[in-house]
Amino acid sequence: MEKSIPMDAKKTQICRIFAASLRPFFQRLQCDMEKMQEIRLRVNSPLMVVYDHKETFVTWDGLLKKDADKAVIVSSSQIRETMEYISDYSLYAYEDEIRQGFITIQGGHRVGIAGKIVLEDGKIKNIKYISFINIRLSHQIQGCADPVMPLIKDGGTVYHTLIISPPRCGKTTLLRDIIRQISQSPDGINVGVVDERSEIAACYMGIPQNDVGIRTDVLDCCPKADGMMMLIRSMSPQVVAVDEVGSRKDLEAIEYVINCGCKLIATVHGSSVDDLRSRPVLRRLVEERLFERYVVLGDLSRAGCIGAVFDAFGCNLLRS
Amino acid sequence: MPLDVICFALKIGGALCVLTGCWGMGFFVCRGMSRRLGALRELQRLTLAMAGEIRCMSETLPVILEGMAQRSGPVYRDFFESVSRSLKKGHGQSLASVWNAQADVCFIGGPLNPGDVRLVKRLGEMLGSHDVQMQLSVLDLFASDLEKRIAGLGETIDSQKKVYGGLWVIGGIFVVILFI
Repeated sequence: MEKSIPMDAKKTQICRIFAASLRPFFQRLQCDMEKMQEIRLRVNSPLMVVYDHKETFVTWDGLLKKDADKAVIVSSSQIRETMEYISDYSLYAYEDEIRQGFITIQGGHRVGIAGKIVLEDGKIKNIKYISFINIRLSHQIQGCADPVMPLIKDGGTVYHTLIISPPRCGKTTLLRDIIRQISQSPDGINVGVVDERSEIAACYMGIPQNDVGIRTDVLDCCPKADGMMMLIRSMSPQVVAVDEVGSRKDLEAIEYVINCGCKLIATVHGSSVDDLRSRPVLRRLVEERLFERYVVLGDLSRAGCIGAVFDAFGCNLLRS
Repeated sequence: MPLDVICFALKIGGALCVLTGCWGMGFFVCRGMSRRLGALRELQRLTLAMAGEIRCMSETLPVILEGMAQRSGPVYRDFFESVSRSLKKGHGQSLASVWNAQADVCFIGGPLNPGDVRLVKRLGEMLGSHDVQMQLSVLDLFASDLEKRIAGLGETIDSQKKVYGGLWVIGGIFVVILFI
């Protein structure tokens, strides 16, 4: 049964990152923070939130309204101040993250940023005049992996599993819960997570903000391919989990992990197994039957909604 | 005992008190200079440590300042500790305002002179910048300003000690002569 994680401190946590003049509007909001998905700040534009899959505006009296007439207008100084709090007064410490366009903050929430790009030798060096902030609130859904667990784990054996899903269908949420359940299981399976974009464990100052289980080691902000090899050498995990594989280098690392006798659970952008077959790099994964289970997601309205689970031979295990 | 002898003894006693007091004042001023030099050297050492934390660990300022408070002596401990605490609380104040307010509170009656405190405040206004390189340049600039102050003070401290110490003693002798 799915249960959402109680987060009493979530509102306070979120309020803290806003400019002092914006905080009262959020403090006054009477809403279920579990339904709050995104908060968008755009310079000289209304303060916007995505609440229960619907776009709404925050008004001066702290209400959520559909029309932008009475909405709070965000100024550039408020965005600057917000960035100061988001970065713990230390923008320099998030240089690499800013270059990638997002910062993970306490609570595992992801702050996407946009502004003017500073280039050096044709590569992104930094972002200045940050004028657009998108705060994606982290939502753990513990138990969302319950339907697939019997199909990807048989007693103490975990199958090589690939989660296939279009963006925003909850593949990371599902992967996180799979990791948690494997790690918590009485079989005592150690899980190594390579969290390149701090999405799975959402580490803040090295501490996972999401529950990833008691036997999980996290390599945070580490390139996937290097991280998988590092983890095997250093932490000897029985299961390695990574998010969003796709490059040729990732494929080499996947083969390394599988050849080392470790089990691999990974996610990939896509709509179906056939979709993977059409891509040059990923085709090999399917044709060589490196993965024993394919979990396909596909419902935008519900995170982690499982469409089908196939075995290496293409047999839908959910139907059978 | 004749009255003349008693008066003379009192005068000698008074003169000795004035001279000792003036020597003590001279000593106090000289000690203040030494303490200031020591405090500036400590700040320079802490600045280098801060640069190291930023360069190698990319730590955030509240964490760095907390570490600096643990490593620093009584002159800076309260300052760094209270700035770090305020930043961690996240009450919606800018770094510069927290830094300046705490500098005003914590450095009162300390060994730093108003010029030194102004320098420290200026550093607070430049911390938290966009990239590591820029942040390190700010710290380099601050360290070189400190170096100049330390070098200037170090060069003149001995002679200044002699001058101030001597002036207080001479002042005392002058007062004694006036009274006698």
